Amino acid sequence: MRRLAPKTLFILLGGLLPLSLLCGLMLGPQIILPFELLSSGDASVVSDRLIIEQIRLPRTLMAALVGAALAVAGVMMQGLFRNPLADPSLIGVSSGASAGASFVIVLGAGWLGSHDLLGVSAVALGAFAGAALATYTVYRLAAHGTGTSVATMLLAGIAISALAGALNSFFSFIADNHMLRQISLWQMGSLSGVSWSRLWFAVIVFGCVLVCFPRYSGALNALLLGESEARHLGVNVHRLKIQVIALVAFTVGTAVALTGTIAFVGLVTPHIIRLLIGPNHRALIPASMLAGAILLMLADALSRYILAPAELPIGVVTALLGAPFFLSLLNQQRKNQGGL
Amino acid sequence: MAIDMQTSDTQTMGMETSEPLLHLVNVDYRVGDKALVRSLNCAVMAGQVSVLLGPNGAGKSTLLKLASGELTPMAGSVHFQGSKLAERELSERAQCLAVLPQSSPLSFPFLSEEVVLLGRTPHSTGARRDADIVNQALRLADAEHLRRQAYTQLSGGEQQRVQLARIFAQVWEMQPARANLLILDEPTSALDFSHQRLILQALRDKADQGCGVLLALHDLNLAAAFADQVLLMNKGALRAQGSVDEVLQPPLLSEVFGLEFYRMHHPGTGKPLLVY
Repeated sequence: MRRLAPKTLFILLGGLLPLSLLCGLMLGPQIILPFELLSSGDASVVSDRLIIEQIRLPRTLMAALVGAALAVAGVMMQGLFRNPLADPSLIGVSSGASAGASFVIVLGAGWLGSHDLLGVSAVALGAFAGAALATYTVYRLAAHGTGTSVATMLLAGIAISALAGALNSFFSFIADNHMLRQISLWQMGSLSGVSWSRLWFAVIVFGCVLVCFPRYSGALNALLLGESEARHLGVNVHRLKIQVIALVAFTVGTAVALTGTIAFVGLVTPHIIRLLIGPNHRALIPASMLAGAILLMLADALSRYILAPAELPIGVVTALLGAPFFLSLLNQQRKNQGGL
Repeated sequence: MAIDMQTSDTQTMGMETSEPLLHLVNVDYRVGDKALVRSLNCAVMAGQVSVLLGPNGAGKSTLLKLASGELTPMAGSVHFQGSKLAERELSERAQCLAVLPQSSPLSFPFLSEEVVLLGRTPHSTGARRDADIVNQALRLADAEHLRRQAYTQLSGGEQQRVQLARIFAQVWEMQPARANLLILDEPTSALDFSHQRLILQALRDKADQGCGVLLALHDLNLAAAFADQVLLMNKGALRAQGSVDEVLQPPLLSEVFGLEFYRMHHPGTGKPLLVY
């Protein structure tokens, strides 16, 4: 497949970003067109404005932030593991988060109550703690004197994921009907109930983290050649691994804590961008952030529109939207005799 | 009996050989109980091509890894440009020491020119200068026509030439005070005859410009044609060290490789020619 110049892609994504924001604001159980808001005064316009301001705007912006964060986390993991199919869930973040959330839903609800801290519920905190714990354990298992072994880390990630999965099943097993529904909804991911306070929390946290990632593009490019090759190019591979793993665990943990597990964005977005412009991280990192934001805003808009007034879980939409596109790109690449 | 380095009469290409560029002193490396390299001493001079020969499993790659700082010796020390290699800052070291491993698995579809540009990672000489160096390095490795092709779609020999161009790009510029060093593990393993000669000639030219070059080879005749110094390894130790004439002697080679060798002279160049 012929490559797109990164500049062309950035122009394209820059145009799509406001369009998808507009989609996010317009679509829903009730379609609100922008010019309807301009006509002054009657009651329906006021309620439409409220819907946009208090419900759709914060949640669409949250979708953009979480999409960008998940996509860039995928880029970093794929670069670090030197495997285009690596995913943040490989190091146990997603499964750890799920187990943490189930734990709080089933056992914690009694004594923690449903208090909100900074707009982040106790369930979300449980998810974050689970993610951090799982990632830390995997990392400790894989780290040794001279560095971290990627193979050991993948195996440890699989084992921890299995353990977290078992815990998850156990909590689902002892849960009552109401809790069970809560667990399964949370695992499918949801952006409903995003308030402005929760959004501001996300803006601050993701804002701080996302600006850190482009710093690593040169080192990650060198790392794609191999660990010793990167070292011979002057990259401190050990330090790079620790920093990237910590940043990714924090980013994905926070994303999962805020909106539940949203699958596929972290795996597919970097892949699509890489097929379009090649694996150079200098362009790949910012382009994946933009594309992840666009993808999740559109997915969220669709999730509200397709079954309106009911709402489809967003994880289902991302998979339905991302998978066919991904498969068609893979197929095209196969026809052009390319390797991954 | 190892031939003493100090007394051997090596060609020096007119350079003042005061201090070796790379110096391994009493270096030991073991994995478990197995000694891969035993109390080994050797030196690589700036302006010289040093070729490492020896059968499979003799410890050539281990020695190169010790020399490049990838492995830390369990005893002894490695000195580069007069200071301890292990104490050098990674990013600073990468500006004057380039290493080509035996194989470089790269599963992401970088273009060849992007791979070569990665060689400029330790430097901050600006995009225009880097692009210029990438062009020249690609030309030197006869890979210019591959520049817009994905690395993953190249043949083994083409990939090796692109990697060589990357190494050349990394130490393209001569530094006034200290010499650059290139360490290459079997850089010609996937190359056809004409490219083998082309690459060895390019390394010879680098040495003539003042670089130190240390490479492992399997082809005795390539070594005979291009080396200033030959290091012959066997079972983790240096069996002999010296000029082509001193080391490439049939009795020594027969002992190390377990084959009967005959030495004659190349009808064209007059260099030693070894056949078995």
